[in-house]
Amino acid sequence: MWFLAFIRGSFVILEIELRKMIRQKVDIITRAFQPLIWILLFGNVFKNIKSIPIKGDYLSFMTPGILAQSVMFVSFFYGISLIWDKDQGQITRFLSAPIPYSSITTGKAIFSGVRSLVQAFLIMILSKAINVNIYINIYTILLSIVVIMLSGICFASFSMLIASIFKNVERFMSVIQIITMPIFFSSSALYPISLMPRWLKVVAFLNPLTYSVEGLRLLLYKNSIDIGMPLAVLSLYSVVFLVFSAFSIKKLVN
Amino acid sequence: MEEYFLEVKDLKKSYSGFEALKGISFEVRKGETFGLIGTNGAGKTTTIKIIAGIIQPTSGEVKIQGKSIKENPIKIKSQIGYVPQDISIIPNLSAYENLRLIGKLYGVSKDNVEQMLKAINLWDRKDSIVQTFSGGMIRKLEITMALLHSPKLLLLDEPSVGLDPNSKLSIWNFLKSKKQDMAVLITTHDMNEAERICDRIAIMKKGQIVAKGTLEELRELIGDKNASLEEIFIQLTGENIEEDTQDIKSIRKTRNIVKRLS
Repeated sequence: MWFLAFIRGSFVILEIELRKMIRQKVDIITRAFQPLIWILLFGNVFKNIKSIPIKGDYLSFMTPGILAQSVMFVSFFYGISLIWDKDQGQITRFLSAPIPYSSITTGKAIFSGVRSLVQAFLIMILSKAINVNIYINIYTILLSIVVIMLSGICFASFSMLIASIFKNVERFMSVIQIITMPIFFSSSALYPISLMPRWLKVVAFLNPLTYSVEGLRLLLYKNSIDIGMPLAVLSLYSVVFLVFSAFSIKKLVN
Repeated sequence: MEEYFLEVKDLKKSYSGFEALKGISFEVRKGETFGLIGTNGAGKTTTIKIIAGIIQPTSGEVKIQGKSIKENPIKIKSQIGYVPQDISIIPNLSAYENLRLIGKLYGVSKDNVEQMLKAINLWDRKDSIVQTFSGGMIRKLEITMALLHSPKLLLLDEPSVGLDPNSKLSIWNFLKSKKQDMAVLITTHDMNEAERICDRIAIMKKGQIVAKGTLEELRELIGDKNASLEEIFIQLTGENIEEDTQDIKSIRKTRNIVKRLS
């Protein structure tokens, strides 16, 4: 009974979020432009730095990193979404329904994965349009979907955990702003881990964004499907954050 | 022995040392509307949230049709309809989408949702975004959402806050027409509302029930057969419900509700 209620609850929450997204089409388009600006501005400057030890061109190396960063930014929004839903009384309604609390966070996290896919494919199309050399074939597309979905679930769950602890938008935003840039710059999104000092390598090793970047880089930059390690670590982080966010959601209304 | 749809026994709730509920007990029968009245901070919303299974009590027991909500929360919650004080409807979805999606959480069929929309005369506006609805229509839709799965217990937390007199009257009549097969628990600080729709009333003050009974029983308690509920309330609590007893959080919340409904 618990499992059926969990599945039903997760799918209904997912459907609610999908229906809300369909009514916010402009948001989908505008959010896809920020990563494109990163690639066009930052990428075109950094590609001239000869000391970055990469094979091939820098834009192709960087694009999977920007893609993963974009998934993280989009997914971090779901903490605010949870607080808004609480302020609008929707969370109280869901908590009173015959579904486990975990289905609320799971449904929202899965939606974040779906939303990230939309974002990622727009970026891939725009990257191809500006002649960024990334490998697009049936294997890389299918496996990218898995990496992006897992990354979306992982970062959205983490964001909802933070939202449940800090409870209001102002406090949530200040915490997210403090941690977003360190997570981004301590990953391998913009430069290879080999360039980092030893202590930063340890941080990068613990950073889930590193595994999101590495998974996408193996697929889109190296045309390799050997992504077992990134998938395993992202799955582990996703499960841990999902469990913690499910337990902490009750704190939002207490 | 009389069978109650809802039994609340010695319910206590503390937040970081503050006692929001200090051991309250009451029962609600089938077909009965029971009102919890009190100023802000009396513990009405805390009580209703515990009964709805949203927050956990520090101690005490809540039984719905003789079964504790702790034992099987998913099954027990499927017998409860809950209308929160905040506007819980999803503003950028249509009336049909709101009902259908909440209905799915309770396993309600598409046909039942359509019948309900027709019953509340909103069929013609089923595809309209609820943001465009009046406050009264939104509240009616929310109460309908809570009734979709034919609950045994309906919980209403300040259902008429922010509504004009006509909308209030419409909601009260709607509730009266639906209450026969279930128990209704309503919180309010509107004395007129409590007098008109409640069969029995509990007066709350600072986390405790100071008196409970029918209006006539409460009048007998203070020895004035013609007293209004407001007069009874003032005499028993020493508080005036219309006085400025709200903190800034409550004022902001009420204003937000009024703003969203208007």
